[in-house]
Amino acid sequence: MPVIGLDLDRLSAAVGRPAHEILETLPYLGLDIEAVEEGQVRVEYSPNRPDYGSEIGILRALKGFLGVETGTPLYHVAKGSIAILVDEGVRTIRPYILGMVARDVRLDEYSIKQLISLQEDLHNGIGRRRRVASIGLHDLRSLKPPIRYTVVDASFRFIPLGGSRPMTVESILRETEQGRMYGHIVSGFGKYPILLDSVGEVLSMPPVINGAATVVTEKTDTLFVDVTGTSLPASEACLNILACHLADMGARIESVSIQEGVKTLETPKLVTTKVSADVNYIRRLLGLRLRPEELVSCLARSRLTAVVQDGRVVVEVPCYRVDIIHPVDIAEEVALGYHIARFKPTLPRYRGAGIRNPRVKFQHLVRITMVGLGYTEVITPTLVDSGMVRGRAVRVEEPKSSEHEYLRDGLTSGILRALSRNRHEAYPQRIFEVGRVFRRDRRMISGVREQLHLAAATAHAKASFSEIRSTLEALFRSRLGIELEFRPAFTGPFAKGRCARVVHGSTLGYVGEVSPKVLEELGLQVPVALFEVCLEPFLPAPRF
Amino acid sequence: MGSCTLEQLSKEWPIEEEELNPALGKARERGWIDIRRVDGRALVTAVAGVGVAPDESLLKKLEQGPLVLDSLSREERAALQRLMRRPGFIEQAVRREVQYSIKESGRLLLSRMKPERWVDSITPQLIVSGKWRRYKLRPIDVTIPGPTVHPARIHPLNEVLEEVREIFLSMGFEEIEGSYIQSCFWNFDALFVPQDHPAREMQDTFYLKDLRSRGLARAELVSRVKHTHIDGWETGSKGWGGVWSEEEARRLVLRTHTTAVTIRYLAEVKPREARVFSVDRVFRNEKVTWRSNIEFNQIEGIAVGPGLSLRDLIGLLSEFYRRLGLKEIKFWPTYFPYTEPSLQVMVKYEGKWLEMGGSGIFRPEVTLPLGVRNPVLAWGLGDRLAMLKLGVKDIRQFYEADLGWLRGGG
Repeated sequence: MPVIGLDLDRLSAAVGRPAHEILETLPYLGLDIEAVEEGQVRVEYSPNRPDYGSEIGILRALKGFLGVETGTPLYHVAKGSIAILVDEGVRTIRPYILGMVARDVRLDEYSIKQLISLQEDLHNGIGRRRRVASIGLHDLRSLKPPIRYTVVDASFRFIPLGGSRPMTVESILRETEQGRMYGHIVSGFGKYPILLDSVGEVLSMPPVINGAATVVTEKTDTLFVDVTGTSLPASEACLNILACHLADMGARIESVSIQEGVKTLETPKLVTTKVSADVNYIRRLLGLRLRPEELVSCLARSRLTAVVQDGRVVVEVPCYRVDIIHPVDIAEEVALGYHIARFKPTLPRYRGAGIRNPRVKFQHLVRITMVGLGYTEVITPTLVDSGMVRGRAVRVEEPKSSEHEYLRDGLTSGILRALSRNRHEAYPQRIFEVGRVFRRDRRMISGVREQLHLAAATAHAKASFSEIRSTLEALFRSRLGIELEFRPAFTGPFAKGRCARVVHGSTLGYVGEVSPKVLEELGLQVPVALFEVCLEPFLPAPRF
Repeated sequence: MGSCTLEQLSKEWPIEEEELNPALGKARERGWIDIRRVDGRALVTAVAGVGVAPDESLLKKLEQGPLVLDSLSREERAALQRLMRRPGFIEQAVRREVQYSIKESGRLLLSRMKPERWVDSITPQLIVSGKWRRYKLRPIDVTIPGPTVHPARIHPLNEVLEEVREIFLSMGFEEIEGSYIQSCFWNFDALFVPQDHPAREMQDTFYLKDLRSRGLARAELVSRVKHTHIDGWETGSKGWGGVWSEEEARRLVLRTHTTAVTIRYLAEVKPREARVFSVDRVFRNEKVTWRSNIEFNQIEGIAVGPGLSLRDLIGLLSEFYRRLGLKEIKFWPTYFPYTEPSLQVMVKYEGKWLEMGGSGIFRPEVTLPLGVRNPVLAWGLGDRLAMLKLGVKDIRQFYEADLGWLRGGG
C-alpha cells in the first residue's frame, strides 16, 4: 500500500481545525496513520484512491468531510495552442499520448517533492510500474512546440535527465538505473518511442527517462505534462489526477491538442460523469432510512454533488474518482459522508444451527487422542527446501528464500528436523503433527494430490519400534475401531529390520526406528521411533 | 556297617602296631565300636548311628570364635573336659557380664507405645495383604522441588483457533474447508481482482511452477466472470475494461486467503440465507518477519441473507469480537477489491487500538455472477488474534516447533 507524508500544520491551517481533530478524522477517510512525528503524519492510502497520492488530494476530501467545502469540485480548462503530433510508428509500441499545460505554477522544494511523489505513486499504481501509463513533467519555457511523438533507433543520442553527455538509447537502456528498470517495456520492437520538440530537443523517452533539457526546477512557472501508455483510460486517469492536483495548487490548466493523422483530441477535459443509483438500494445496503436531502448531504461531504429524482440519486463524479464503477461505490460514499462511527449495530436474526465440518472435527479428535497418548502437537512449515522432499514434489515460483521452494510431500522430514532443533530440551520428547502434504498427480484436475497426514515421533533413551507401534495401534483402535496390519519394509529414514509398512486395505504409511546414521546427521543422541500415516481414507472428500 | 576280627584290622588298617590298641581304646570309649570275644577271637563291630564326635564338633565351633560355657551341651562339656586334659589345645578365659533391666517407669512408658515398623512406599503387596495397617509411611520433605515433567498438549495456536470455531458454532455458523491449492480463477478472478492487479504479482503470491488447472468451473460461470471483468456483464458495473485471459485464470496458487473456498461454496450452494465460516491456512510470498510469516491461519466468516446491511455487519462483528473477549472495538473505512463498503476492525487492547481484521459486503461483481442475489457480509482476521491471546510477540513462534515454548508457554 502506498504511503504519503502530510504536514499537519498546513492541513490544520487549510481547514481551520486543530491538528488532533485532523488526526482523528483521517482514518474515517480510509487513511491509515502509520506514524506521527514533528508535525508530519505518514498515512497509508488505498490503491483504488490514486487521488490521495498528494496532500492536496487528501485536503480536498478532508474539507468535504469537515464541511468546509462540499460537493463535486469543478475544474476549468482553457483552450491552449500547443499541439502534439503523433507518428504512426508508436502505434504498436506505446500508442496513447495525452498532454496538458499548467501556467502560473508556484513551485518550491516541498511542492516539487509532492508532485514527484504523486507522479511515482501514479506510475506504480494505475501505471502498473509505467507499463500501462507513465508521466513526463517538463519546463515549457525550455522547449519549442509543436511536440512530436515518434520513434527512433537504438543509436539515437541525447542527454538523459541526470546525465552530462549525450548517450545512445542503447547505452541508456544498459547503463542507467531507469533504463534497466523500465527498458523492457519498450524493448523488442526495434524502435523506441520518443518525444521531441520542433528543434529536435528530447523531452523524454517514455516510459524510461526524461531528457535533461526540459528539467523542472523551483524556477519553473509553466509546466508541460505528457502521459503515454498502452491503456487510454489509465493514461487519462493519470493526467486528470495530476491536472486536478495542479489546479488545486493554483495553476491555470490549458489543453493540448493531440493530432494523429486526421484525428484531433483535446486533453485534458476534467469533466464530471453522471452515475446514478437506486435510493432504496443504498438505504437497504447500509441499513439507514435516509431522507433524500440527507442522502445528498452525505454525498456532498464525500465531495460528490447529487440530486435525487424518481427514486434515484444522480451523482456528478469528478474525473479523478476512477474508483467509482458501480452504484455500490455510491452507497459507500454515502456511508463515509454519513460517518462510519455513527452507524448503530443491529444483530440480524438467524435460525440455523452451527455445524462442524466433518474433516476438521476428525482432525480435532486425532489431535486430542494423540495428546492423550502423551504426544505434544507441533506445527512445521508447509513450504520447505529441496533437501526435504522427494521426486514428485510440487515447486513454487520465485520464493523469497530457497528455504520455501517446495511444498512438503510428507511430515516425517519436518518432524525429524523439529527433534533436531529441540535436542537441548529434556527427554523424553514425544511430538506429532496433523498436516497436509502435496504430490504431483496427473489424475487430479489441478495436477496435485493434497492429502491430510499424521506423523508422530518418540525420542528418549528407550524409544523403540514397539512403543511407537503401540501408540499408532492405540489411536486407530480407539478412534476408528481398526486393527492395523504391519508388514516388514525398508524405506525412508528407518533402520533396516526395524521398519514396517502400515496397512489397512491399502498402505497407509510407515512406522519404524530411525537409523543411527540419520540420527547422527541430525545431531540426535537418543533413539527415535516414528510413524507417518495418511488419514484421507477415513475422511469425507474435501468439497472445495 | 560291618565287623571284622582284630587280626584283620591290624593287617588292613594303615596304622602303627603300637597305636592300634590306644586307638581302639579311645574308639570304644567314645562308643564308636564294640569289641567282643567270639570263639576266642576279638571281633570289632562298628556301632550304627554315630556321627561326628563331640570333640571334633566342639573344636570346629571354637574355630569360629570363643564360646560361653553355659551355651555348651552335656556331650560338649564332656568333650571339653577331655580336650582340656591335653595341653595346648584350648584356652580358658573368664568374662564378666553386666545386666540391665527395665524398671517400673520404663514399663509404663513402653505400655503407651505400640510396636511399629516403617515403610518408604506403599506397595501393591501391602495393600493386597492388608499389612498396610501395621506399617507407618515414612514422612518425606514435601517442600523439596521434584523432577520437572511436561504435559502433552494441543498446539496453543490450534487451541485458540478451536475457541474461535466454538464461537462461530455458537452463532449458528457452519464450517467449510477446502484445498490449499486453488486456481487463480477462485483465488482472484471470481473475487473481481483485475488480472493485472499488483496483489496478483509473484512478489505477493506463491504460484505453482509448471502447473495449470485443467478445469476452472462451469462454463457459464467462467463466461460470467470473464464478462464481469471486461464490461461488468449484468452486474451494473463498468468492469475493468481490457481483456480477460482464461489461461491466466488457470494458473495455480497457494491460496492467499480462505475467501477462495468461501467463493466456491457460494458458487456451488447459491444460498439464499446462510452463515458459513472457515479457519485454515493461507500463504503469502512475503519476507518473513516478526509480524508476517509466509503461512498463517485465516479466520473468515460470511453471512448471507435477504436485507442484510452494513449495520448488520457491524452488529455481527461486534458480537463476534465480544465473544472473543474483545469488547471495545471500532470501525474504520478501508478498501478491498472484492468488498464495498469495506471496514477495518480496530480493537482496544491494553489501552492501545490495534488493527485486527478486515470486513465488508461482497461487491455485486462478485456475487451476481455466482448466482447469489442477497447481500453477503464477510469478515476475516489473521494470527494477530492468537498472538494477542497468547502474549506472543513474534508470529514465527507458532510455526517453529519450539518444544521449550510449547511445554512452558502458551
